[in-house]
Amino acid sequence: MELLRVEHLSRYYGEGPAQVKALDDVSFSVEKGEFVAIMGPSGSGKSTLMHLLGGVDKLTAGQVWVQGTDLYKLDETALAIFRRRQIGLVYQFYNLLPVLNVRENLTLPLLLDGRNVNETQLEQLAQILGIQDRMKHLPHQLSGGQQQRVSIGRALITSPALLLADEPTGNLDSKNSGEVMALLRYFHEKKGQTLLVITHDERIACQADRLITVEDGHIARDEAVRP
Amino acid sequence: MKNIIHTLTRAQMRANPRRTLVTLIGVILSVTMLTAVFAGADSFLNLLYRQAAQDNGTWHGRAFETGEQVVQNLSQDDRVDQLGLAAGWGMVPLDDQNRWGAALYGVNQSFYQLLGVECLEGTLPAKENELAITRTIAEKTGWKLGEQVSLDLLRVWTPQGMDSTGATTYRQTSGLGIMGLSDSYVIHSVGENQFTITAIVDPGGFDDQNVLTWEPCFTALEEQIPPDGLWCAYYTVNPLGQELYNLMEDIQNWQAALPADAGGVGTIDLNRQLLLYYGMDYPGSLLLPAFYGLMAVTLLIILVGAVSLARNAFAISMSERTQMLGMLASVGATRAQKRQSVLYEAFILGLIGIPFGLAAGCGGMAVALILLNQQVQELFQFTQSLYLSVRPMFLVAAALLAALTLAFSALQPALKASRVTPMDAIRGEGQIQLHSSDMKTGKLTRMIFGFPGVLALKNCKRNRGRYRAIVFSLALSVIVLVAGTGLSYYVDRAMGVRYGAGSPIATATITFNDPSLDTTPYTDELKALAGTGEARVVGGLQAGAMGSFTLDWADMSQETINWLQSQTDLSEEEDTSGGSQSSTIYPTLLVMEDEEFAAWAGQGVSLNPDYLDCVMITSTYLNYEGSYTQLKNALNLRPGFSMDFAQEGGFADTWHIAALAEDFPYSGNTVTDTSIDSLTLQLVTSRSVFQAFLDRQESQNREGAYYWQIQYIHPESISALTNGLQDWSLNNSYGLPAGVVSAYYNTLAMGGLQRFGMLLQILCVGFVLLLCLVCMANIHNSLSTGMELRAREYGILRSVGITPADFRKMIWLESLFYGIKALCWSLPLGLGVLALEYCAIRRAFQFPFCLPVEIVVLAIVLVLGVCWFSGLLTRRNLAEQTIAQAIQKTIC
Repeated sequence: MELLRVEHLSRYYGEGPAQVKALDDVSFSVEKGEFVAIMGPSGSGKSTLMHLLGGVDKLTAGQVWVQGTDLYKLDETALAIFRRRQIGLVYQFYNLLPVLNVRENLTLPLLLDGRNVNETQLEQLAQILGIQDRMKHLPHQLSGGQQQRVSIGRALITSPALLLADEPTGNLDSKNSGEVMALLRYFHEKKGQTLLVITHDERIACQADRLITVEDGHIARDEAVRP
Repeated sequence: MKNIIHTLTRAQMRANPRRTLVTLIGVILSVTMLTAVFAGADSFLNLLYRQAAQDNGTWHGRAFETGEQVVQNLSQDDRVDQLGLAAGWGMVPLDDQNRWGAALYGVNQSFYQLLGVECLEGTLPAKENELAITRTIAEKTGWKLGEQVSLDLLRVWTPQGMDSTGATTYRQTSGLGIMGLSDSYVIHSVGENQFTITAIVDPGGFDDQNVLTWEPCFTALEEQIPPDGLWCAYYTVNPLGQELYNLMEDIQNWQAALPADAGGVGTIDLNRQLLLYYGMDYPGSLLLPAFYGLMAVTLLIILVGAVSLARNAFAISMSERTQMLGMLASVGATRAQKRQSVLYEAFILGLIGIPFGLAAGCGGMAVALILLNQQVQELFQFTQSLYLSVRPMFLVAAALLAALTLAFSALQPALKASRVTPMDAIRGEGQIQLHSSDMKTGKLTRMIFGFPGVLALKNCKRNRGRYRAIVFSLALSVIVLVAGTGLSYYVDRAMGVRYGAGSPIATATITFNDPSLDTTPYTDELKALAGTGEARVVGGLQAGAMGSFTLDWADMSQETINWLQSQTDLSEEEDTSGGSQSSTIYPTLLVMEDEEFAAWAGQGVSLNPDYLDCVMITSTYLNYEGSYTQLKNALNLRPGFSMDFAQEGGFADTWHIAALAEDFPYSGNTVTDTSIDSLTLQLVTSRSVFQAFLDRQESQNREGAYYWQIQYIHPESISALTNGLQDWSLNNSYGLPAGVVSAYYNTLAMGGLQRFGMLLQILCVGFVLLLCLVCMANIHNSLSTGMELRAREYGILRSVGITPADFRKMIWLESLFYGIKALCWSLPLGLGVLALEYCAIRRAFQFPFCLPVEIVVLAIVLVLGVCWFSGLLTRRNLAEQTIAQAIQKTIC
């Protein structure tokens, strides 16, 4: 079942001779439950692609459908609500809110949605993430690996249709990188979470079902990694 | 050699003009506020100076009515810069009853300058037989320029006291300050002298007695002056300083050696109001320390705000340059070099911002002073206008203080900058170390404001120091506003008990005794005076003119009886004697113009002109030995009650109560000085009913005292009106027409307490305005700083799915929380202060406690308005950037 469809997606910066085509006429689709890795050299347009898929950037042309919803046809409010319910975002630099403690950061999308927190579910998630004894801490009181785990938890708390991760291990040592990837794999395998992970690390890419290689704003290759 | 740090700093400032501008605006605002305090204070001192120069002259000190020896000493004293002399020749009665006349002085040129004597026509006397007279003398006597007059001069001694033998002692007077010649005076003839009138002058500061007095006239000071006269010496000293006090002390010693009847008891004083401008006052006086203290407190509060504002501005700038500083550190920049970067920016911003701030502060204060001018003129009864006038030294002081503020504000960000490591720059790591305990928010906040409210409160608290500074400033604004305007409110209430509400600025009253007299020309003349503005005419009969009657205490309210009992222990004696208790009631009558009466009394009240048909006021204002009170429904008299009166040799008629009214229509001297056994009954009627009453009196050939009074409510020009009333009063002092008993005016309707209340209100409003400006700038700066510093966090929030509406709500609540927190602290405190003020005033003026709700509402609206407006400004400045751009921002 198709979860994500991208058609003729373009993102240009600037105008005239100075115009930079970060993404140019990109099309692909992702099935529900798929784990897709996106690789490419620096400046190839990977992050731009992820921002556009997450609805946090403005596109120049094209369409992005997530679960049949054209993201860029939604008004700002509807897009914000769609994002907090259906899309989870994980960044290289964790991007937690420093004024909120771990528990509040984890449940942020729920709180914004005005929904009650299911304590059992939260406890389970915290245990899976290995941060159950850090719930009252502020982000700066955590290690990088812990912060990234909170960030993953925040992205998954609403059980979104799509989880987008931009270099989730880029700021971590190899031990923490392994733990984070194990977590992502866990949610993919056990919960059937659809994953799109941008990475430079081939070892991570190898763990995906499919690898899309982006070069100069185009999809250079789109191939299956694991049968 | 090129300083690379300076070059980089300048390049960064140029590269982000918007941020540089925001920082510059922060700096300019800080300097503006400091400058405004200096400019305001100096302008006020300048106003005092100009008013003093106009009222008294530009002299520093004087020896008034002293002896010749003192003058000789002064003329030889090196400390004296300029010496204005007026030697008393003698006095010249100029009317038949010796009630009024001229006082002749031989004066030198410095006298004209120091006293501001202005030559209106002709030329000032250059020789001893030439004479300058005032316009009043010219008008009263008909003397013209060039006319030769003969002055029969007298020397006058007035009784001073008694010596040890019981004999009367006398002091000589030069003429100013006395009215008429009394039989108790000792008078010697000096002789007759011939003079030619060469000038008509305005006596300037020499005519400073402010009473109807003998008019000065001047001739040149030469050798022919009659001996043993009194001298008035006005001097300036150079340099102005401690020597002025030493000289004053010397004059005192010189004068002490003179006989009491020949200048030994003259007045030695300073031109205090003028000297305040130079920072001098009588030794031991607390006026200047209080003034400087007030200025210092204001400056201190402004400084706290200014430092906070400027520090924020530099903090933003530094945060933005974290990457550059990290890069510098990675290539070997020392701590000092990194520190220098921020300080150099402060230097450049100061160089641009201080002149702009000085200009903006002066400009803002110029506008504020124009707006305050009328109130200040009314308050102090000044004729000079309040406008911006600031001495360079005050501007230099403001600039220096501003420079210090900037240096101090830049210091902390500079120290922070010096600690930036390359890794900080690369990671873009946090500026502020947060503590879990600081970030706690209550459940109530979430319940009332939702999750955006929780986020907003946490954002407020993340920089606790700034949060507290803003809350403190706002809370202080509320307390000052509530306490200041509250005191003014209670003072007004107290004055309402004392004088009636809405007292006029001035009144002119003419009392007549002929009921057939057409009084309209008299009132029309007063209504036509220059500067009158809004005025009304009232009339009436004073207590006693309508006789009196006795009322048992049984016909009085319990409150009245309690009050009567509380004022004296006489009642207890009466209780024990078992005698009946009663009080004498004196009716008084107020007459209103027909239209005003109809508007006040309402359509339901119609009066019968066949007798004195009136509305009775049920509130009674009483004064008993300095204790003022307001009694409601004191007398149990009802509509239909009537009473005849017939005064021997006075009016006779019947007064009747047609209706009741709770309060007096408007002010007058409605308060009654009372004693235990007498009360006043206030009656109000219309002009037509009163005219019918006068017609009846005329037909019965009766005469009695009645008055018309012009009440000047809102004069267009107080100075023009005061001059007009003075002239009117002077004209009347030479005799009144038949049928007119007295004519006088009063401009002192405002009591000292009321003036104090008004001054307090002006100060408080100015102070609160300044505080609000500081708060607004700080809140806006905090929010916009937050926007800039936390752009990435906001980006995250948006990426996680906060809706635009919730985001706006969060920003709005962030600004609002400052206000809510401030109100939580300040309102109870402010109300506590109000209660104390009420208790203090109630000791002299008894009226029921009332909470000035409008003041509390005003404080709440003001604080929330300041916060709302700050939030609005910030939201407008939100940069149009995508979430992706915000998240990619490297600053944190």
